[in-house]
Amino acid sequence: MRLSLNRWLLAGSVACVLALWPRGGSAQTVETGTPAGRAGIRPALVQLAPGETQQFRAVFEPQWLHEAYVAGEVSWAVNGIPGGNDTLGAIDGEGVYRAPNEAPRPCEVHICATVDRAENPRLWATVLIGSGAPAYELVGQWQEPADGSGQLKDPLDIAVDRSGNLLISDGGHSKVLRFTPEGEALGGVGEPGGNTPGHFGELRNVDVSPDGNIVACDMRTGPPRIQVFDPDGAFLHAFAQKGIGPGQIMQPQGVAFSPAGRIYAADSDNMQVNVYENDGAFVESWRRNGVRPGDLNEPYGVIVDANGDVFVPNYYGPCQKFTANGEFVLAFGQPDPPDGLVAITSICGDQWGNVYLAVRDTAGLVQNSAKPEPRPARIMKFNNSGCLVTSFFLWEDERGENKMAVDANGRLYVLFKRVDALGVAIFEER
Amino acid sequence: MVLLPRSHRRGHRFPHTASLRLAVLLTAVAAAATAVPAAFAGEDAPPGRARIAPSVVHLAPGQQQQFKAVMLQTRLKGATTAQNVTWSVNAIPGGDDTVGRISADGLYTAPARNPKPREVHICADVPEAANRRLFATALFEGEGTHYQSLSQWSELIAQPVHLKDPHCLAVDRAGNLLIADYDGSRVHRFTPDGTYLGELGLGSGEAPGYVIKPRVIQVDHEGNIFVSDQKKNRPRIQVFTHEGQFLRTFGDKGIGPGQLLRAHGLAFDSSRRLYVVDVDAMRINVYDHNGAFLRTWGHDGPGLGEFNAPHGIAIDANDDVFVVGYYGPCQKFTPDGKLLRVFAEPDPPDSAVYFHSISVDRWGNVYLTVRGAGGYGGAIEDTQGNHVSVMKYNNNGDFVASLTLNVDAHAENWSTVDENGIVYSIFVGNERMGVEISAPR
Repeated sequence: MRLSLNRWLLAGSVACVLALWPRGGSAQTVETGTPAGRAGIRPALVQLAPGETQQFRAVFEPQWLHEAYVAGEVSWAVNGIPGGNDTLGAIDGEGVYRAPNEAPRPCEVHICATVDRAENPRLWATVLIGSGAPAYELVGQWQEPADGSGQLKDPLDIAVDRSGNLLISDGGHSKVLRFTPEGEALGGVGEPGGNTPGHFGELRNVDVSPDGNIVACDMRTGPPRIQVFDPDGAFLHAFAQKGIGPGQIMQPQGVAFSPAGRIYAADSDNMQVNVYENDGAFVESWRRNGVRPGDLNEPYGVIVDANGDVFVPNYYGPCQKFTANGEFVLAFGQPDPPDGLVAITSICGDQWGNVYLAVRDTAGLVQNSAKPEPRPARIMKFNNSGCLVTSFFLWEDERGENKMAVDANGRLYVLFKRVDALGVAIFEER
Repeated sequence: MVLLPRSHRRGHRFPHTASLRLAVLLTAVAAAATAVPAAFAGEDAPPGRARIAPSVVHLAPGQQQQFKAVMLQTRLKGATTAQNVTWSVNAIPGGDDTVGRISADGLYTAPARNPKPREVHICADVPEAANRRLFATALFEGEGTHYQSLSQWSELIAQPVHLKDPHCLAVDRAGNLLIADYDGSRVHRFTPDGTYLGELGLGSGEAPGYVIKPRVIQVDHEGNIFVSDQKKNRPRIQVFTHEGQFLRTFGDKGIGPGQLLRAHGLAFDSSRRLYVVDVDAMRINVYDHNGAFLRTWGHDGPGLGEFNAPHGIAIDANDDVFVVGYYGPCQKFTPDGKLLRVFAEPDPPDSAVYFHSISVDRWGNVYLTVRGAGGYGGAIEDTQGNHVSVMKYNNNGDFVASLTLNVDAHAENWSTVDENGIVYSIFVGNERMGVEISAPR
């Protein structure tokens, strides 16, 4: 009796709403039965003892007038290995994971669920095995004098190229410099000065596309702001004029490349994210100036994960996750003064959907003042669902904005600007 | 088998510094020097919002924990440490030996012995914040809050005495229970231990003062009783005095201003305004205390900040508004309807899938009445095989505890919490239906 009553009420409510407000998309999903939509993984982060088991589930999130439900066809893997193995732990076809008898190194493993029907088919959960948090260790470092008398004058951004070498955009040289991870100079990309293609005015960011092209942004008025070079550094094309009009950019804060072949560019002055086709054709802007969830408050970087989901940190926090079309998904990395996150200066992401934020406990253009005030800086690592995985301090005397990049092996390259030295530090998870 | 949302953001502990450094106010950065769209310049900034950190912490007796109140980032301005914060524990300024003490700069020292209940509320009063009352939760002995059944009374479904189809309950000014019986078309009043006290209004019927198909009851700050029911399938809201005398009625069927399709939740803010959540129109209507329509907000959709069959509404001490959709999650909004936080994600098949009612206690804790996949009887079981009926989150949306009812089945039910944190639940089991009263121990 109660069941039928409830069904009747619900059916009545559906019919009523549909009759009053026919909303094509929603109505169709209800009429055609089970909608797909976005999926989530539960739990998203768990700490297990060696040998302990944990049930993971891939869940379709609620849709309009439809409850959440467990996804049926799921492929499970551990760190990308189907079914896992003895070292990382094994996962069965039902998502039951058994941690290895000995904690692996690193103690962090990634449960990967593939749900083909979901809008975000790749799901990742984090397992921490043992009692501690994952630790990052400094495994390499090269540095130069802080006064710019070395190879680096004013390093502004860092990226890893297709061969595993480092690209550093240097405002002082007005070009992109290439180094081996050990700091051996390999030449440059682009030329300083002038408005002609391939030349930089006020160089800012450098990023590398999935096919290895080098994309550098600058701020100078005149020529297009986003320039694309091939992996060897030959100029290909440019797009996005300076300005506040459609497709234009004021202050670029980096670009990211989606699996669908789109380019996302964060613009901290226009408080927006611009979306372009791979050839630079303008698609749309996400204009949401504000401080509420889903709003942009000095967007200070952008990355895209394997699902095409877009992560944009606001300079003043938090970092926010959006769908490829700009629908707000979640926020993490909330401000935590006086001794925690107050400003986010850089973002990068790895193959497991983890998000790394370089954060400082104060905001402001510290590096441009005459007497920069050194402040502590740190790296925070979140998983794809926004759960904090670990964090670690860099140095107590960081005076500039840290920028960073992560390579295919999860190795972190951090561009640092300390009081006495600037250079690159390399961290690995142990 | 996992019951709790284990996607626990790991507790953020930070070392206590003898004096919290005052965050340096640095003026706006690069953007100020370059062009900023003129439309955004010079707007009067409303009071910013604040948050408390950490939100939930597990402590042992005697342990210390630094809490802090943070003024959140605003446009082109970083977050800062809040000024002039007054700290209290369970509303006792500075706390005491039983619940623990908190210093003027937010350093909490747990009591020497576990408090009863093993959950205390760290309260920060932040005058400069739009949400000036902040609440954090300290849980003791690792496991945190446990609920125990204080009493239960029921009727046989096959031989009902008063109850036929209980849908909602509320606690009246005197501490007695009001139960809206939908199919019975009556609002009953019982003492907490189940003694029948009669019915509200003039009885079952459609005329003003009579009750027909009542769905929801809410009691305002003066003790007046608001009932949403439907006259000839046309929704209305009727107001009665505490004694049961009919005062007035308002509302009509439709989607025009102030009209209703199916009112499924009622809540009052500190200005005595009535918020009505409409599950079919998928919006919130706001009325003044006399029933004059003020405004509406919200629209249907499955996305964040949208309403997907919204079933419940509750308002906390800051006048922030919590709305839960039938399919989850729960969403927290500012008083003017701006999304703040999303929590209580559904977790099929073991945990909550359907969400039926919501209430808020004086500490801003949110209680959600839930059930699992599988429709009626799809009970959620915790690790001991108990049926979970209510999930408790704190004011920041972080999970605190779950509550078990001693019933054989878990049909759709309703819970409400009083100012002492006692939880009253309606249940409809396989053979009996009635009320269970639970409290944290």
